[in-house]
Amino acid sequence: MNLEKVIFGFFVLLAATLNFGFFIGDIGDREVHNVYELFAAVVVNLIATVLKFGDRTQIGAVHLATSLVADLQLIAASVVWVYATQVSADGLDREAVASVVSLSGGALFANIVSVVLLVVETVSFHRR
Amino acid sequence: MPGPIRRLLRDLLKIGDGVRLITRRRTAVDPSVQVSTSLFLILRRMRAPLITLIIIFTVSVFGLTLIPGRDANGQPYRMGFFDAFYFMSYTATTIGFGEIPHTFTYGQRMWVVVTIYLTVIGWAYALGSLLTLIQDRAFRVALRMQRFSRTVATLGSRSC
Repeated sequence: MNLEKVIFGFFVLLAATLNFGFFIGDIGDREVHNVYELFAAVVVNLIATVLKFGDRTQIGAVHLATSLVADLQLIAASVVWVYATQVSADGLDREAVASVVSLSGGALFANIVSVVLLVVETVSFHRR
Repeated sequence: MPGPIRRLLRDLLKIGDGVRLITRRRTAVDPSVQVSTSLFLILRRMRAPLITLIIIFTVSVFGLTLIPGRDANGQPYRMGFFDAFYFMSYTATTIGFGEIPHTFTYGQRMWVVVTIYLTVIGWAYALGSLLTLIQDRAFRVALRMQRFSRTVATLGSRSC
């Protein structure tokens, strides 16, 4: 059992699952989307991105690309949330919540691609 | 990839080749890939410091959002994520603007003491690692070697 692979797989899956947990639910309803989960998703996605650094294979490059996309979208979602709660006159209305959740949905898609890559890589592993 | 560069990289990295689930045959690396060699070195070395920094920041921000404070009227409130993140940013980088949005209660201040010692150390560790890496002799040699090989590779396509 390789500890490095366990940690890598753990963080990739945790990022995808936290993201999914934040995403599901009525897209405009603020009560079904917990901001603590968005915070957790951002943090774990950043950690997963850092773990993907420095891998020079083709699959490693695509992993890093998907992670960067997910980070970008989740940070954008956080910025929209901060804007809606602190700056905007309308506050966290249905429109703002929908923006935040749809951005996190985009990040979810990238995370799913990353998980698929991980699974494909695992399944096609040839023990020499 | 030429022999000396590969040996240099192996000495620099001291460990194997990163997270790979498929062992690949080593093929010669063409010059367009070598563009990323120095960036690759920086990213690899910066993994531990960056993860440490992220975790320390997370714990600090999360703690700040949980601990109750008191607003100007004496009513209890809890800091939002953005306020906590803003406060931690200028605390970790030792800028220190002040206690926002309201003066902190002693409970908050106890937590902030812990976060100050954690985040300043974490931040210094990350910055120190980056500067050490840039200064590292082997890294600078790799950078020069990479620039040189890129120049050589593009010699034919240049119009002189």
